[in-house]
Amino acid sequence: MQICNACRYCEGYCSVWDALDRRHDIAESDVYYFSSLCHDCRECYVVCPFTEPHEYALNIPKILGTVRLETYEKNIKPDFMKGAIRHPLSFSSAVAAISLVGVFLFIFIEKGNFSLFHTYTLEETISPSIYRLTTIPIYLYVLFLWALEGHSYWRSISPSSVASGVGIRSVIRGIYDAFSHRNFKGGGAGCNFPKEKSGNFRLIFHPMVLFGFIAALISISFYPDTSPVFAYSYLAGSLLMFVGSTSLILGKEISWKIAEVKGMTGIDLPFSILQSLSGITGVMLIAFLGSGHDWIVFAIHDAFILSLFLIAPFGKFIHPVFRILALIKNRAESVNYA
Amino acid sequence: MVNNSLYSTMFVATMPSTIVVGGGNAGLSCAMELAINGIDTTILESAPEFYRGGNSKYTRDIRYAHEEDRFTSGSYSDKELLADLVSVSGELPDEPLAREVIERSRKMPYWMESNGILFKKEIRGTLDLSRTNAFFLGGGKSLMNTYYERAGKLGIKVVYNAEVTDIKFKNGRFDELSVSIEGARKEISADNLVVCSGGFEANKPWLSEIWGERARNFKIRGTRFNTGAPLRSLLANGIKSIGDPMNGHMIAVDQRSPEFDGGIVTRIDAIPKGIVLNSRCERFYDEGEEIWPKRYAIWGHLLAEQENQRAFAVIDSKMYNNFMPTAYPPAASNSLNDLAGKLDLPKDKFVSKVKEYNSHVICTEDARDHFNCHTSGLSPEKSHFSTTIDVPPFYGYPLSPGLTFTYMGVRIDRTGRVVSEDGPVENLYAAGEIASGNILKSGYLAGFGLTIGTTLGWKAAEGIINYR
Repeated sequence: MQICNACRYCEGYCSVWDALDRRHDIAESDVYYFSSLCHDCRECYVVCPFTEPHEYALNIPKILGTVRLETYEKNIKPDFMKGAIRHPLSFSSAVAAISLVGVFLFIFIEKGNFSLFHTYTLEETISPSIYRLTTIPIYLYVLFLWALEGHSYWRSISPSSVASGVGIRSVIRGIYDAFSHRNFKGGGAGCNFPKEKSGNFRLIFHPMVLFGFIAALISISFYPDTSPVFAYSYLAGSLLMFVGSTSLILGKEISWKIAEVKGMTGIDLPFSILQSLSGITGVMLIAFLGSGHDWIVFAIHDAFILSLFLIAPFGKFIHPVFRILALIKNRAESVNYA
Repeated sequence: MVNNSLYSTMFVATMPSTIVVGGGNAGLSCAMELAINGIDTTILESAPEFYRGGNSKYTRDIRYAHEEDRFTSGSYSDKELLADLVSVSGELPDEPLAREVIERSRKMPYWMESNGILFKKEIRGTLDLSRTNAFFLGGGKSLMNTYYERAGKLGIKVVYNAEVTDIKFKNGRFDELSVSIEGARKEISADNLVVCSGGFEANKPWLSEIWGERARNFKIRGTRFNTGAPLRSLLANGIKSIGDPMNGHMIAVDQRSPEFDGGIVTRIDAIPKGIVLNSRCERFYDEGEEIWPKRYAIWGHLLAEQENQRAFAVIDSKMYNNFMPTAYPPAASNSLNDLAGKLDLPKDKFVSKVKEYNSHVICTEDARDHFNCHTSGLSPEKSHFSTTIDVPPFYGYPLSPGLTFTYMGVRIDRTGRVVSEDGPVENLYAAGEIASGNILKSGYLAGFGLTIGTTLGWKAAEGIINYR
């Protein structure tokens, strides 16, 4: 990246280059920071005259992707869970399997005479009180570990001045940057995921997953209220999640391998697959709502959602935390720099 | 992009009406204008696809005359641009042609936008060029990628790895080309030829003819594919040359730079902020001479005259953050003695030279850039930015001459045609670096190389379109 610092032709593509522009020398902590500012659009690779076969053989998206994975692994809390990121597929599958068995076992124990052919209402399957008794601790568990991990990441990117210059404005603007996908436009040049000159592929599908997830999360919080407004917003959210994450999975499959970091794909896939499964079962849930057997879909759906939350602190799901922190730091720096 | 069917249609079925030699900015600007006007155009590019675009791939901005616009921070008149040109070049080789280039330059950013180029909205860079120059997003390789994509859409044929070895004439007209395409020799003819093949900076044997042994220690910042073979062939066939063969844009780069294609990243901007010592620990030029815009390129030539074409820029920690970062880390030490060891320089002499310099510094101002600080009683004096070198750590950058491009090219007339001893050649044009000697004699104006390439490229295209 010291070569990039002497060049700076990429200025204008994304925040990585703004952040680089503010530095004369680059420390290890800076690369940790840049790694979450990069969203792997590869524009800087496409326009770089120093990629292979040039002897400098630069491949910035790949370097930053590799470092990004390293920051996930380094900052996972508690330490004994680091293994989860090294074996993401087996870990996620195990969690999903256990969740599935767990949810059905719970229903069986609760109901006694359990049969898939019985008809139950949703509330009979999982009562609102049980729902809250489980979801709230799970949310807290995720938020708690995310906070620990985010704190650890923040310290790694700001080793000397932990909170200097971060005001409420930079926090708001950083979060705004994340949700608006400001950097995804590549300064107007678009994106090279999954292929060269793909334009807005990720700019379309990533927000679908993000906002779909949030819409679903909000509408399910009113459970057991399944009146049309919540049912339809849940349906919409689930559908967006399904279409978005499935497209991103397919995008990954056909993706230009030039900047691919294998370990990153490893943690991307289980996360996206669980998102996709949660999305499609969410859609089915609404479709079968009131049919009498909707409880089966509900149980399966809940198990996927449960797994998604359980693995959240140990896989790809920590990326929003690190990305938002990096974007906040970028905004704080740009205020102080100007 | 080249496949066998293209190959055969090109060489068997049709005769391309115009061949453009060299697929850099000038060649593409010309070819795109030709293709837009329905002329069958083929580009012969000597590099493989990855290295296409010649030196244009190391550019990032254009200098053009303009009123207030959205690409720059203020207006820049024809007159002012002409004055800047005269200030670097001295007497102009062909003032009306230079005026025409400047007038045509006004259209450049709009033409570039219409061909897919995006310009930066805010310019923060280190260069003080935001008023006179417009910066495009992504730099030269992005420019070339965009133009090649556009060229493909316009139906321009591009042949990579196509080295023109000979340009043949018949009855005072361009007749045919000998081309080596991936090793296979072909003879190709066309109605018109536009030569946009750049200088000869990557041709070390040719440089040695001019510079002797010194050329061995030159780093070539530009593309390794600018061997100047078409230029050599034109000169051998009686085309008039223009420009001093020794003249080139040559700056100070890091000694550790690659032999070719170092581009922008190997340059060392530290010189005005410190002192420069040669292998004998002697200073040899005023490091503080105002460096922008014209003196930047003086250091390559100065270095070429030193023993082994090398020298060392020395600064201390006070100045370390006051210039562009470098791709290679400097030698660093808390003691001058130790730094001399790391730079492989005689220690006692090194330390005494730095101390001698320190004792002659007159620096009373507190301004951050210390512009008016200078020395008194030294030979040579340092006229600006003179601060003592006394706060460790101390840093040393090893310097070599880095040749960006050579100036010698071919003479063109005011229709853009190449001129032979018998007058202009009716169907032969030149644009870009190979013709830039017609616009300026020496020196360099940041961003003006692309302007010369684009405007002369258009001019050649217009000549062909209007003549048919």
